[in-house]
Amino acid sequence: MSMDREKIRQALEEAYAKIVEPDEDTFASCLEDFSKTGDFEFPVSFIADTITEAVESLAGKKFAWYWEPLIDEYSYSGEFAFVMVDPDTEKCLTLDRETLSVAVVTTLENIEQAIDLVSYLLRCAGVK
Amino acid sequence: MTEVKNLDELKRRARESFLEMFDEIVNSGLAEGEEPERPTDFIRFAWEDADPCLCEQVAEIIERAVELTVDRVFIWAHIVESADAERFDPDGWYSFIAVDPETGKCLTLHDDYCSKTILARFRILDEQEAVEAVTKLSCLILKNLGKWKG
Repeated sequence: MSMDREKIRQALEEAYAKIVEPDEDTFASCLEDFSKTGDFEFPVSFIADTITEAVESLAGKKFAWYWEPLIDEYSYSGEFAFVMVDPDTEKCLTLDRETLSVAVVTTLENIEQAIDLVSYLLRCAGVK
Repeated sequence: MTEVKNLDELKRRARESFLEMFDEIVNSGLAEGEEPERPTDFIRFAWEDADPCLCEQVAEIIERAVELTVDRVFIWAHIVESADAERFDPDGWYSFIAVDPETGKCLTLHDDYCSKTILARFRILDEQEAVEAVTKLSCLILKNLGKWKG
C-alpha cells in the first residue's frame, strides 16, 4: 500500500513553507497560480524544490536531482521533468526501461498532481 | 568493451570518434560537389544562430562519439542550455546525463563541491571544446564503470 495522501500533502506544505518563508501562500495555491499564469516570471524552482524536499523528507534520505520545467512556445507548459538518482547505489531511480527515458515527466498544476508525483517518486525510491 | 590504457589514448580515440560521428550525422548524404560542413563552423552556427535542431545535433554527436570511444551504448538525456527562458538563446553550454542500460547506474554522477550532481556540463563552441567534452565525458563514464586505468 502506498503512503497516505494526507501525509504527502502535509509534507508538501511543510516543504513549501520552508522554501518560501515567510510567505503566506500554500503550495496548493502556488500551483493554482502557476496553472493560471505559467509565464516566464513564475518562480518554478519553488515548485520543483518543494517536490524534491518533500520526497527527501518522507524518504528520510537525500537524492541527487535534475529537474526542468517544460516550455511551450510562449510559456511554461505546466509539465516538469524530474531525474532522481540514489547517491549510495548510484542508480537512476526514474529510469523507464520501456521508453528508455531517464526522466519522469508530469503535469504539475494542482496539489493532487503533486501528491501523485511524490507518491510515484517514493515508490521509485522503494519507500512504502 | 575495449580497454583504454591511458589519457593520451583516450584523447586520440575521442577525437577520432567525434570526427567520425560528425561526418556520419552531419555530412552523410551530401549531394555531389557539395562542400562538407566543418565541425567548428557547424557548432558555431548552431550557437550563434540559436538553431535548436542544430544544437540538438551537436549534443547527439557528442553522445554517439562517447559511445564509440568507450565502445558501449548508454541511455542519454541532454540539455542545451539557454541564457533566456523566454526564447531559445543557447549560451554554448550543454549538459549530459548517461545511464547504463544494464545496471541502471547513473554514469555521470560525480561530486560537485559539497554535493553530488548527475549532470556533466560542458561549454562547446568549437571542435576543440567538443573533443574535450567527449574526452572528459568518456573519462567520467569509464571511472564510474570502474574501467578507467589512466
